Amino acid sequence: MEERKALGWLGRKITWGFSPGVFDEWQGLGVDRVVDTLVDPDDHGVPERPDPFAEIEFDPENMGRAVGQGVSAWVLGAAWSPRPLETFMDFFWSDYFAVSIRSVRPSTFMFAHMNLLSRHGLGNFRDLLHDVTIDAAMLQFLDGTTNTAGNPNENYGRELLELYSVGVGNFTEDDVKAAAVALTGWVAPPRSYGARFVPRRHDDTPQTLLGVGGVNDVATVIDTVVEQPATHRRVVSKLATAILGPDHDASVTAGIVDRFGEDLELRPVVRSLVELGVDGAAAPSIVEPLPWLVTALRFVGADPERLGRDGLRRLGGLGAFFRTSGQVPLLPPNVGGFPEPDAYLSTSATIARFNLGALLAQRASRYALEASDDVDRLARTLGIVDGFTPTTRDAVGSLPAGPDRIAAALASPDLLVV
Amino acid sequence: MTNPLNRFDRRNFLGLAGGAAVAGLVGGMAFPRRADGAENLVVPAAQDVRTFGDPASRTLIVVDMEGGNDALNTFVPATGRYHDLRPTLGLPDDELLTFSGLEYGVHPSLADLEPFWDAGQIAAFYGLGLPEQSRSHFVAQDAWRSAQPGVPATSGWLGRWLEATEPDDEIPLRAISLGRDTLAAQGETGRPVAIQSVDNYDLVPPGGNTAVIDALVAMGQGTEGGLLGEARAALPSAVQSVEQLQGIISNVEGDATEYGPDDSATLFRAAQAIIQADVGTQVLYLTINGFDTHSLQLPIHAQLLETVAVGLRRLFDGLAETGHADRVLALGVSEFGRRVAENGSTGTDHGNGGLGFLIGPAVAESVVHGGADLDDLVQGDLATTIDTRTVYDNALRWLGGAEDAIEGDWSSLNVLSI
Repeated sequence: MEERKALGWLGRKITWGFSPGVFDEWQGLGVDRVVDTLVDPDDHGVPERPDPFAEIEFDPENMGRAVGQGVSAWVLGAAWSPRPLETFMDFFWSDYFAVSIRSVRPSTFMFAHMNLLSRHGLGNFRDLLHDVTIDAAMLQFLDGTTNTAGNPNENYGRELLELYSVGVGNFTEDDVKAAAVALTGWVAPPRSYGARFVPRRHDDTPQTLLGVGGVNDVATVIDTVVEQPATHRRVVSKLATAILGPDHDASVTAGIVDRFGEDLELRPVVRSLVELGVDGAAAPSIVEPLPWLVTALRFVGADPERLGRDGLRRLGGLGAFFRTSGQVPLLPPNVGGFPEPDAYLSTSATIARFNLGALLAQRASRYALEASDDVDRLARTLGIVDGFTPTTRDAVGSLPAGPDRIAAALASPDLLVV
Repeated sequence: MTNPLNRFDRRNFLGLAGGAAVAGLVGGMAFPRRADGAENLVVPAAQDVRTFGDPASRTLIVVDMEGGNDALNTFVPATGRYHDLRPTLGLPDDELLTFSGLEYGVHPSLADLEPFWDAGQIAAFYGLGLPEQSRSHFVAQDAWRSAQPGVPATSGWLGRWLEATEPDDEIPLRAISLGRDTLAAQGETGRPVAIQSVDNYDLVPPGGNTAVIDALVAMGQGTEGGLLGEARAALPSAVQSVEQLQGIISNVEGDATEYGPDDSATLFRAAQAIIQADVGTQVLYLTINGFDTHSLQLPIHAQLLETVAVGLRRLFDGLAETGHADRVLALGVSEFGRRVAENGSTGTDHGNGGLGFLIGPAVAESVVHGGADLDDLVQGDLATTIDTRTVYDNALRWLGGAEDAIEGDWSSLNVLSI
């Protein structure tokens, strides 16, 4: 793919938009170097991301407030992330495991859960799944805390097989029961430091899971499910859908599945998929509400004096945006995660984007306002490297430069499809 | 082994039930009942001669109890096995409601359904499900919402009906989803208006400049296919729906809390306002989440059932006062029932045969079709004895005819007097 287009795709799909000057900087580096920096930030001296939840003044007596604080802190962390691919992966895994902050007490367990996803997001899938399985937030979310010897609760065992590993059609009801029994014994009381194992609540009886005998604890359950080829296919397919779009050509990932099965390392998989994307293998996809928001923030919020962290907190409107769009980060609607991206073509999501775009446009930085002087430059600054489609160009251009034009551009179909 | 004491209790319960009916006649209060019981119902009785108007003027309101409603604790079968299988979750006999002539005890949160029952307006379907009914939420939801079990879901049963009956899609508010965009109302290309959050359904341009909204409509006029075309088409739909719903859902009279105990109350109130506004809405689809009660089921389930019962009661009462109730039929569905035996977390895991209902003046008589046979369980679940599609067929006949929206002939069970 032409370098300019490759960078445009990378910026809009993977890093969720461009902050001022970034596109020019990337052109100087070249696409290979940019991909390398995104995938391996440690090797390029990129500063680590701060813990987004570190500054929350947590009040255990006010859980409702803690939920709101947690969601906005995480979104702000995403918007200003120095390592946008890691943020992309955080969001991917938070959708994959789909723990809802509303199901977790105290909310600090949810913060720890998100940090766990960050730690392993580009690491080893075995470690990730192992740690998530006995993570306090997950234990509460899918009832692992009440899964005990003699009284197994199938909730986590079922979703482990259906959603987190092999997938529908690759396990039986007996496998669900076996997984549940082998995972008995873990607790995560709200007034505690987190998860712990209580041997007397555990059923040590060896189970047969997916045809493998002797499964009787977390390690053997996870070892069994992560070694299944169906798990390798499912994880790679999910990642490929997130990176290359739901309609990508699945045949391009066959080699990646085999490679993933060898050591379960995620970083090489993600690197390969991103490289496929810049080579033109990505199919068009809808930009979901969170990536859309970050794209808009990066564009309008360049001037920290006008729209820095504090400015955004004062802005408000984020809660209404997320609720109306149907995608509240950290609060997926159910264990299956957020809806398929085309759900965000709904009338409700369209209204959410328009209203927040209008609000942001009225607070746009000089950088964004100047870009709006010229419709083609406005498109390019948003990462639409070939410019708006003619219909959009005419409509956006019919408005005066400034907030009106920016609001229309942010609501345009061109920005909604990448 | 079954507990003979429980069997005795159940017989005792049956005896009490008869006694309660007598006590009711002489003014006794043997069972908890609402003070404003059957006698206050303003919905006219179904025995009245009526035509229910032109099918095109009728509305179907679907209440989707997402997560898998526990049928067994909704309508409680009067056999001793129930308490054996549910030692802690079994509802005590003296807390159950008795509806006249109904062989099941009724969950105490459903008091608001009694007037419908007494008026002959509830057809319930016990053992409702689809072939190869799945215990996976997502497989089951897709199958129920598409009415195409075993096939990857691309459209909904109502969406196909909408497309078949109005191919030109000239009535913009014909289908509205409330609370969640739903597959059920999505056609092969068309999609319903989605109201995710009732409070924020409005467009607010920068500085109130409506020229920006005009630009949004102008951007929607392109002719591309593919995802960009879909994204474009979403814009005028959103603008149009806001204009047409202007003043309808934002200015509803009455206190939302009268419509139920939680946020879903606003959805029922909005549904009533939309029907009364007479804007051509034929399908309203409400999604109420949270029925996946793996743990601490009793209080959660009680509130959810109250949400449904109070919401429907207030909705129909309000519609009756304004003369609209005769043209409304409610359909209650849930993707599966729950396991008969409780788990160790004071909850229930995913099961099979569920409970659905049709409520409204057009229902021929109050009766439970099918049943819950606790002596004939299938893998620990209630058997599926009624195909979901036969109930959908009734709903589509209410709307004027099935129009091949569902493959096959499902007209064998006719429960409406139309």
